[in-house]
Amino acid sequence: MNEILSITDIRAGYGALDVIFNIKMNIKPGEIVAVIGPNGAGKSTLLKVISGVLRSNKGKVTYKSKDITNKSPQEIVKMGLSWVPQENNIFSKMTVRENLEIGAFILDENIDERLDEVFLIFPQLKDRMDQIAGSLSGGQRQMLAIARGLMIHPELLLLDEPTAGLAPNLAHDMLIKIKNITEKFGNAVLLVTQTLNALELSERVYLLTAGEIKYEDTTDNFLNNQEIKELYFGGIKHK
Amino acid sequence: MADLLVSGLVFGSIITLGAIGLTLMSDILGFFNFAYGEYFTLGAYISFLFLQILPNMGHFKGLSFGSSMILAVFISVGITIIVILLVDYLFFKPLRKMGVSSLFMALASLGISFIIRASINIIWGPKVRYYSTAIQISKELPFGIHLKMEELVIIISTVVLVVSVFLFLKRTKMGKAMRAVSDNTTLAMASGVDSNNVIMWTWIISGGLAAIAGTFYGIQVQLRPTMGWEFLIPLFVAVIMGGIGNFWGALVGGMIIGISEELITGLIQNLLNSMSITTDVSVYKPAVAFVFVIIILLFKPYGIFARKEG
Repeated sequence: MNEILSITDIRAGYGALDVIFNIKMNIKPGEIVAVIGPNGAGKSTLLKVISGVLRSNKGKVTYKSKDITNKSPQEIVKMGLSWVPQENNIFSKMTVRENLEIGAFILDENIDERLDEVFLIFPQLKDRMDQIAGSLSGGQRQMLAIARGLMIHPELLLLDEPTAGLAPNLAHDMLIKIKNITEKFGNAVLLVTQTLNALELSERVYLLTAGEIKYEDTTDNFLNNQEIKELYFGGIKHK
Repeated sequence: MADLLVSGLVFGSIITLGAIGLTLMSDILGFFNFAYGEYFTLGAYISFLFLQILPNMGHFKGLSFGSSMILAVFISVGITIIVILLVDYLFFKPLRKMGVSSLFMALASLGISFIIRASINIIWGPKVRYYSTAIQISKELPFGIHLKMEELVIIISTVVLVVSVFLFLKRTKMGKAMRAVSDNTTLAMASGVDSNNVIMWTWIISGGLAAIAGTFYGIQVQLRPTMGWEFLIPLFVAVIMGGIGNFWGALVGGMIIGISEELITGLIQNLLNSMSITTDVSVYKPAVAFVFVIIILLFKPYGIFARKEG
């Protein structure tokens, strides 16, 4: 078994309401996998369960061959799994530098080298080190959120809609940066998205609708499957 | 007028210390802790207890207390923190695990407040107590200002404590973790911040500040079992005025409340005295705080420093 992440029969939700059902999924080391689906499909919920922020009601999450089901987020991040949520993904009252320091909270070493690494990827952040994060633009916030997630050199990075709300050119740049990150750090990425353009990064795709995985294949096959695209994306063509 | 300002600055300092502790606690723990006033009283009474137990080491020049008071304050801070952590372990921690709402946490704190106040009443009785019966002598300064050395010690100590807490929050790893939890709890936990550790440090800092503020109040005024309960009103107003979780807001709010209470009631008292009306206006000090809270809740419900984020 060489998967870095393996999910079996996960069921989870909020209060008495389950929003994802019998999810099965696996990711190999260094692989970029996308979960695509419409609003409210349960994509963010799935990432919350993996990162330990939300408890599952059933099923099992295995990370690096260890059962992490319902472990605390603190325990999970210490194992090298980093989660970048879609919303509230920065510490808005703290400076850019402080955000990155909290990203590296579990490390006992000097983090200057790590800061230099993320500033190489996101040079815009270096110029704004002492700026309060809440005053950054939408694109800069997204960069900071991903940079925070990278501070621990994660083996698996969970990205929730990393291009949401960004102008098309910025979204494209962000996808290139994510690709560069995986090439540089060799980490796997589980990317949640509702736009087909974000699939240019991924090797495999899971289609999640109404809380269930409805389809799973390589990205190429998915993009060439006209029936799926018409059913779930109204026949939108991938650019 | 100048004397009222000095007096306001002293009370503002005491309120500020309490308000900083309360704002940290309210923000990170997510509820208004009604027992906070009792920690203030407890700190003052434990200082009193150890002042009696410890050998008399004499007085500092110009002050009504000496080294034994300093030692008593340190012991008081330690014991108050232990009591606070014990209360958390016995009451608040189980409630947090049950996931109860902030309203229930606040109600539980009200119950704890009654228990602590009743215990203080049983142990020390309702009688008013003083750390020292020695007369505190004022020094005359320029502009007609009269300042007691005790008041100067309170103001300087407050400045040192405020700067220390600020540097702790700004510079240390735990201080940053506390601010991160206050800012975005879920993200802080997902970054590896241990919320239990953060909660413990929040109790330690706010408990220490409550014990010192309580002792300062005892030095400046007197000790009575209801002192902390009565002090809660200006503390809450200072926290609301500054915005919950706003460090500098608590400082400014504390100073505004302290100075306003002294100035407004003092000036009204002077006016009544000149009209030969014999009424003690100082008992209406809390009314000033109430007026402030009504105005703030009406016009700036998120505090005077609230601003929209970009």
